[in-house]
Amino acid sequence: MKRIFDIALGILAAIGGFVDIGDIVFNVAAGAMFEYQLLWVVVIGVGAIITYSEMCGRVAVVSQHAVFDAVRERLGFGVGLVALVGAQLINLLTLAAEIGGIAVALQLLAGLPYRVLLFLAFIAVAVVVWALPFGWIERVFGYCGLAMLVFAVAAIKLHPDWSQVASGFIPSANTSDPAVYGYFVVGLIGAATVPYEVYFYSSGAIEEGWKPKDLSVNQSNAIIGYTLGGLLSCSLMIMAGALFFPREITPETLGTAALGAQVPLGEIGLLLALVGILFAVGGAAIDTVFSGAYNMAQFFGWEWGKHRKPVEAPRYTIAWMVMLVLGFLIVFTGVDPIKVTEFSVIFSVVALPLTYLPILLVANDRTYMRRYVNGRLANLFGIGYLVVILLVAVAAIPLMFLSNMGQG
Amino acid sequence: MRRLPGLCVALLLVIAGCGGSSTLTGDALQKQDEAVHSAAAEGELLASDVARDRTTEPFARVHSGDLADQAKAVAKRVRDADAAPGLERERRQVLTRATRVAQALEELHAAPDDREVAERVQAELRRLAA
Repeated sequence: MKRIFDIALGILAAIGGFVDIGDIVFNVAAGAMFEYQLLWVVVIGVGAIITYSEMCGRVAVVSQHAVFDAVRERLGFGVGLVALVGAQLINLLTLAAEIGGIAVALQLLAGLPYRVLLFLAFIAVAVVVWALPFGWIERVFGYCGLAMLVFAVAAIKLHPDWSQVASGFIPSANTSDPAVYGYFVVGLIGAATVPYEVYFYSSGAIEEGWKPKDLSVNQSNAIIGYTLGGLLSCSLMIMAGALFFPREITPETLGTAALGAQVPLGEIGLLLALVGILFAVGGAAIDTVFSGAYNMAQFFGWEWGKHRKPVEAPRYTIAWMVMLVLGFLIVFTGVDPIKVTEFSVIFSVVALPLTYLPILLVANDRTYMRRYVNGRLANLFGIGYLVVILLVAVAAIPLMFLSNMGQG
Repeated sequence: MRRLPGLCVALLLVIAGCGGSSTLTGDALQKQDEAVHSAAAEGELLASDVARDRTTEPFARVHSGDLADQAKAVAKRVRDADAAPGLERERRQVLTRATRVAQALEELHAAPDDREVAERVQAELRRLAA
């Protein structure tokens, strides 16, 4: 009974923790610009993150190797260092965007000045990372992030044309601007597969002391939790497709997403949307801080982990503090968090292959994985998605320029 | 090495040129007009909810301010640019519309819990978004 309860709680946390600022920005904008046409891309992105989260979780449980252990070992120091630098820069941009997102959500809730709230967000993230136990952080932010489910209710209440919604899951490109369409394909896949999620997921498996008997929890979290989280992403796009597309509204702020819950559900919808965004984005900020420190520590062989006291893992502790301060300083310059989000998602796509390839290699290494080595199905999906990710990585930067960052 | 000062001067002139006025083509003007329409249509939704007491005061204030800023940014871009030949009338129309949308949204921003103001702003934005 306890096991089922643990699995259920893990799934709930995975749903609530699935969506971050990148998902919100790209799904709402895609729905507003292309109605339901890009729903099929969410399926691909969610499939990729399920495949590689399950794989990196299994690798971590069986071999006690988190992602950047594998990167260093499989790619060597030189290429691994390039992967590390790229991953850290993207983590930093993502963190800056998430801190900005926390401040925007707080501002929409409380109406206080943005810069004051930025500082408050910075302090809050620091206190939570320092003081709360790992399990608490994951669950509190995951459960409160479930308030984002209000967007699913909003999507239903807006009475979309369900036959059109269904046809959105079949790839099609009925557009006069293929570059913008392509840019959103890249952005949606990037938003669903941001690298920090797999860094955090694999390191979290080690933090929580998962053993091979916990592989069922790993599978259910990744498969059920992320599938349901993906439905949340679809809800955002359907909501925007039903409300903003017919009115030709182009979302430019997080407030537009919240308005999407307010119009069909009133004040309670608005408040749930803002609380959901606050915790989803806040949880992602914390995951990103941890991921940055995990990557450094694993690559250079430092002691790491939230379960260790700061004096037992001093370089890891300094790494997350530096990461947090730098992320705060970036967004404190006044740069628009939505623009930072777009850059971080597009550049993360470029770096994805260097994250996913080592996971696939280690998951196929029988000396590490023993009987838990990848089966045919895991390799079919793993290689298939790696090819998709390679194609998207090559196309990302050219499409960013050709589409004028999705502006046409 | 002797060429370096000359190159620097050329680079500075290019950079300075980037800050000057640009020319709005038909496509560029269309994009600005779409941005104004978007702010007006979204503002209308927001004003409608304020008028029906279906939102919170901080959200209405902050979001109407953001939308007003978007409309003002368009107005500034259009004001600072020259129109391509034959498009001056369209440029003025977009500028006027952007300015009116910004004014209406600022009115809502200043009185985010006044239902009568919201009704008036909603009607104005509906007209401007049409």
